[in-house]
Amino acid sequence: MSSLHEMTLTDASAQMALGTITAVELTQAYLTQIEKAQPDLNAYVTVCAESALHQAQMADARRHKGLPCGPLHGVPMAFKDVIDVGGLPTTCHSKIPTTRAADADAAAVAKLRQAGVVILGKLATHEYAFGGPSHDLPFPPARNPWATDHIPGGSSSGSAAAMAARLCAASLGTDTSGSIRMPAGDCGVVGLKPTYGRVSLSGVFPLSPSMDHVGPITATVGDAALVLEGIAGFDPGDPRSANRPVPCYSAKLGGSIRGTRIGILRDWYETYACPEVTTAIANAMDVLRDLGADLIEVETPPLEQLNACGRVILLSEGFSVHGRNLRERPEDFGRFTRMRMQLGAFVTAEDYLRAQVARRRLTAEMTALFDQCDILLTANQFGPAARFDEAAELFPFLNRPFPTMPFDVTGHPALSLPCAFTRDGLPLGLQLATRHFDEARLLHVGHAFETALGLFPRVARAPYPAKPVPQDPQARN
Amino acid sequence: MPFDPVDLDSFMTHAKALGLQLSDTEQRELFDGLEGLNAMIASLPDDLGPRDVPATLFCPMAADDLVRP
Repeated sequence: MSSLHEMTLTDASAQMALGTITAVELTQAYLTQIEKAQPDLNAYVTVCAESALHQAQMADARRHKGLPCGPLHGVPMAFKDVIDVGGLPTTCHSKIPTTRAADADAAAVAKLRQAGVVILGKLATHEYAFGGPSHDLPFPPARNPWATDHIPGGSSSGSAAAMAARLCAASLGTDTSGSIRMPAGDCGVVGLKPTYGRVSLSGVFPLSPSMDHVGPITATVGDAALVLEGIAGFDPGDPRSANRPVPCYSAKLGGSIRGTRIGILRDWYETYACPEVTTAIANAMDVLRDLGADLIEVETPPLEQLNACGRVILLSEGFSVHGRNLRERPEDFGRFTRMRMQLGAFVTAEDYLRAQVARRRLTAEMTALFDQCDILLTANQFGPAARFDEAAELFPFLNRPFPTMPFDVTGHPALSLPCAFTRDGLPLGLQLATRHFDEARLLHVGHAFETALGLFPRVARAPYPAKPVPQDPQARN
Repeated sequence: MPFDPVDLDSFMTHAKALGLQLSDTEQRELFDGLEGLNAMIASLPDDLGPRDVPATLFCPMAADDLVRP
């Protein structure tokens, strides 16, 4: 057996069910690992060692009594620090706090707590899920465990870095333009943005309320399925929440994907992607073809147009959330957040509504693609994680589109899967998407790909390199 | 129509009217950023008409009943 903290959530859950490990042992293993890694990675903003161990003891006691315990019982998790955990501050990685301490858990956290999850703490984020990576905030930015002079992506930076180094069994992030999927890809882990409305946003600090999503970042697709089962479902407290049945995603994993029609969105990445990404996607297509999937080329609305639509909406809604503080105490924001958010002040009502009109049409056009195919495949990122000095651009989103943004605009579920390492030892991801509320199919195909590829899951282990060293990726694990 | 200032002075006048406090450096950076934003807005579909319906706030899907309880 590998070190306790390196087990997948699925394996750890099975071991606890068998009685070969306890929640206390598992929690202690993560706490030890966090203590060792935190000086290098800054993945956590708050660590709750004492309460976590107490929760783990309670979880073990329940199991020893023979009471029913689900697959998440006793599993240690951590959450992006825009997601409320009752009794803990939600810092949003900012000098400007939302509250001193949250009165209650976010709906997703409450569901996980009910399922027996142990809460390890809160994870680093770009300021208010938007303005990073920054060095002018109360907490240092998280670093990429595969190369600490590189960013882990964002804005769920700590959630992905913590998963890559296995500082928790699973984490939650949020995604408004790709903030679950991009860092997952940059850190070599799995990121799932569910359908809009699938997971309640109650208790999650908003960035752009009509495009925000909550979802899991995990070591494997199977782990993502278990976490999604734990957090999905209708919440009458969130007007965006969908009243739809939640399937047992983990039970639908495995089996053939023969005959699955996969539409390739080549136009979205050929112009922008570095050669290593293009090669990785070509290899991924070969893997899927070998599994019996039918690959077809599809034409979509331009990536640039979907990004323009999403960006106008995000900037306008973001300014509506932060406008008061931006006017009254701009100096308390980090530079990136302040400058980027202020751009939203110039979006007129006419621009915003024009973007929303375009959004409806673009969503309909994207939805119609699923008459031709079951899954869409495209790049998750155009290159590996940037170095910190390369990530100092003030308005990066104005110069190039994000391949992740379209599915925040349209609300379709999308999955980021690690698929390769660069010559420099940095992970790369690909992206799959499917019909609204069909996460089961997305996870099914993702799991088949992950299993056939056989390259992941991988653990980024200390000593975390400061610079990527060219090496055979097989030698990493 | 997006706000499209003719020069930095008119940009600053508008920024002050919006209540923004900008340093000299930030004025120029935001002015340049606005140019990029306006290019994005201009790239939205140009055949949208007055009868086209916007996505309902919170419900981006084509069929809104998918997400309404």
